[in-house]
Amino acid sequence: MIGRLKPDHVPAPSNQPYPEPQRLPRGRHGLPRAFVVQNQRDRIFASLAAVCAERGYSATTVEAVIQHAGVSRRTFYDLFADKEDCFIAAYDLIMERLLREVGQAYSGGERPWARRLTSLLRAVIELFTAEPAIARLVIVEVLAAGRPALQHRDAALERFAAFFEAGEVELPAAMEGRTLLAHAVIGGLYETLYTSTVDGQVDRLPELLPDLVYCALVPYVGHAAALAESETERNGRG
Amino acid sequence: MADGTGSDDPPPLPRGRHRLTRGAVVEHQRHRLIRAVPSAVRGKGFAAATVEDICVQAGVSRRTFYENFRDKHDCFVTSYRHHSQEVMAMVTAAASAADGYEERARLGLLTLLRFLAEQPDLAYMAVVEVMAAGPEAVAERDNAVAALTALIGEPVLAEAPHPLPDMLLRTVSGAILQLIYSRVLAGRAAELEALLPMIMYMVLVASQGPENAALKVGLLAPALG
Repeated sequence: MIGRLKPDHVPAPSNQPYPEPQRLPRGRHGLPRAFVVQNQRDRIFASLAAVCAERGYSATTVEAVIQHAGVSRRTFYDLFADKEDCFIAAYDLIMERLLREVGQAYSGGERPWARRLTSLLRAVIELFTAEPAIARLVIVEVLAAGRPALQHRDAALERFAAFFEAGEVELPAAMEGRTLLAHAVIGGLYETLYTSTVDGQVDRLPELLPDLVYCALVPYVGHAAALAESETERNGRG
Repeated sequence: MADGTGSDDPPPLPRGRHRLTRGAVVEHQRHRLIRAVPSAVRGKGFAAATVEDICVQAGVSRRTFYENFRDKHDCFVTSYRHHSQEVMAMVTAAASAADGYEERARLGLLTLLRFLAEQPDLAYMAVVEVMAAGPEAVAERDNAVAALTALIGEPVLAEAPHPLPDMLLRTVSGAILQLIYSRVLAGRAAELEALLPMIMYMVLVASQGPENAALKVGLLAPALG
């Protein structure tokens, strides 16, 4: 089972996908400053995701986030310049963890590329299903969070292209536009995740996985091979 | 065709006495406001743009604005809808002039790419700003994507030699959107037409296979001999 987008130092109870990081005891607690700050950052990020999921990015206020997180205004502004800055920091951290987790799912074992990509897609869906507010933040809200956030999104999507490089051997030998193809396929997968998330149907994503596998693979391996891999996934994880 | 500076906009009405009816004037000014939105939001982005910015761009008064629209969101959504209907009409006309489903898809998409390339402010509004303009605007965008997908993608998938998952339509339109989006965001809307081969590859590959699709769209040179 893959890990989750949890703060690394907080143990996750199995029934609570995104743990509310525990509040630190007030007053002197002997914890090093860096730990406190990191904990507060994580707590603020979790609250930002929760508040955005409820109201949307533009109606989200710093006030609502700090109330939800149980931190002071001062603490917030010690860490972030403003709401946008906080959003981008959260986005980058989540995507960093996401890339790490799905990268592990992708690279484990000596398997054909199609099978590895299937593992990656399954990992993406499991992470998002476990944490709908986080999914919404990185898939939907980022699109409304201003131009700098959009640049961060574009850069993050760019990094997923690396997982498609090993699939290029499946393409006709002299075919042009390989990088563009990876971006196109990533855009297609994103749109599917976006639609489900916007409709509040994140929990139904696992049902979509076999078709998602097909759609991701077909531009590389063609219909028959993509269908075979998709059926393997449908019939219980080859 | 417009060049992105709104040169096809109707000019302001003459000042003073003229022979237009009150209804014609209102309609004219409403149209100017609708056409002004892309340039008005391009500078600062939707969130920071004001009703004033739209009025200045359109050359009409704030009072006229509020006679026509509830607020900035209302004006944006109306403008988005107006422009998407305009482009859909052009795409439909181009597609229906062609023979065969592939050529219809190709000409329809080419028309879309040219339309956006020639009006970079509108392209920016259509794919980037719309996502920051509230749920109504996003719903309008989703409708536009669905309409385009139905027009261009469905016939292609329907002609496939084997059944294809419904989801494929969405991933193909998502692919098209992402390619357009990333050029537009980078300020490279002028290069949109160059995306046509890859877009057509995405449209055709599931039914025709990588080799045939790549040959057909010109991403692969035919073998010699």
